[in-house]
Amino acid sequence: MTIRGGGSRAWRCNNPGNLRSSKYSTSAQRRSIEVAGDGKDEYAVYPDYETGHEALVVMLKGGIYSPLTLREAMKRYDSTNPKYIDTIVEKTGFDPERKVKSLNDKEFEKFWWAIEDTEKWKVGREDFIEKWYITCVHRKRGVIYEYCVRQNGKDVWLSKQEATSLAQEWRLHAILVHSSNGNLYLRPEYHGKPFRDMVC
Amino acid sequence: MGNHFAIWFVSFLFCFSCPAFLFCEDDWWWEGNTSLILPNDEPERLVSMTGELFLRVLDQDSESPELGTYECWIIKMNPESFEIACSTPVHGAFHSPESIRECLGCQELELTGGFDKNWLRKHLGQTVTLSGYLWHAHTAHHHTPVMMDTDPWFK
Repeated sequence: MTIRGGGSRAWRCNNPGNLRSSKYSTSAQRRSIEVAGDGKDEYAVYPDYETGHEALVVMLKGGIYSPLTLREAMKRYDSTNPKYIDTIVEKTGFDPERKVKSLNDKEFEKFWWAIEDTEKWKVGREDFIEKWYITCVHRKRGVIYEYCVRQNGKDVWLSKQEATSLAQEWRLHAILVHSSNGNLYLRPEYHGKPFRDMVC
Repeated sequence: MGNHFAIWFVSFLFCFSCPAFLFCEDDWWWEGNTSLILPNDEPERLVSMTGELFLRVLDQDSESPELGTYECWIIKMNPESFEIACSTPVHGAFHSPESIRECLGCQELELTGGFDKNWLRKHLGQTVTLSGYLWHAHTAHHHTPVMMDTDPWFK
């Protein structure tokens, strides 16, 4: 697992257009993998730069943005900054009264590049965290009380509580389930081997 | 025989071109409730929204505070206006009624475009009614799920 810190939001989310979470940016066609944010301001997270870039390009080429002039488009893209269009004009040399759909392929490439450059793609720090697999479980009277986890090639037995804590930190290949009575328990990942087949 | 082939060929072309027409629409990527998508041939709706007016001073770019601040004028909508925000179809629809309601602070409506800042300043903290055209947040520069501009999306 990779954790990204520092850098720009666009880089952390692989979202060079800084698209907010919306029906568009998180649709199946756009292949976002997550949403990042604090509940109020949330952004789409893409698996890589190319997918995030595609989300921006498809939006700009679509019927919502393409009939607008560059000035109108930038006014909508960043309604807080009336000088955004000046930055785009400075970077591209285009007439701001041209329509987005009038740009040929090469010009359109210059246009999205100018937006991505303005939105900032600044690389930060990446930390890699190992995620472990459950290889075996101990069960007493039908209840799992210990999990065996393969850590750096060695099998380590963890109590149920320790395994749950690891899963909460996303460091275990297992799904953490919150039951209706408030208890936490683990479940194998989708298509994973059932725990009942791992009893040893 | 020739006629049969011609009919078959025309039918084939028609069937083949139908999905292409569908894909020309901009709502092809939508899943679920499409009630807020205003068809391109329909005029945008001028709405009046009522609520308490307040001002939030935000960083121009939350990741670069050195770029200075920006005045974000917001109406905290009353329940009737909130229903309008959740049910008015718009060009530039990026939300469904459900996705608006799911947002934290969904009752807030950011004012964009040419609203008179002096007038807004005079009525700060008061309940006001303003008219404009709704549109939906879709970039990091937008601060409420639904916003209202003095201009329609397509002039």
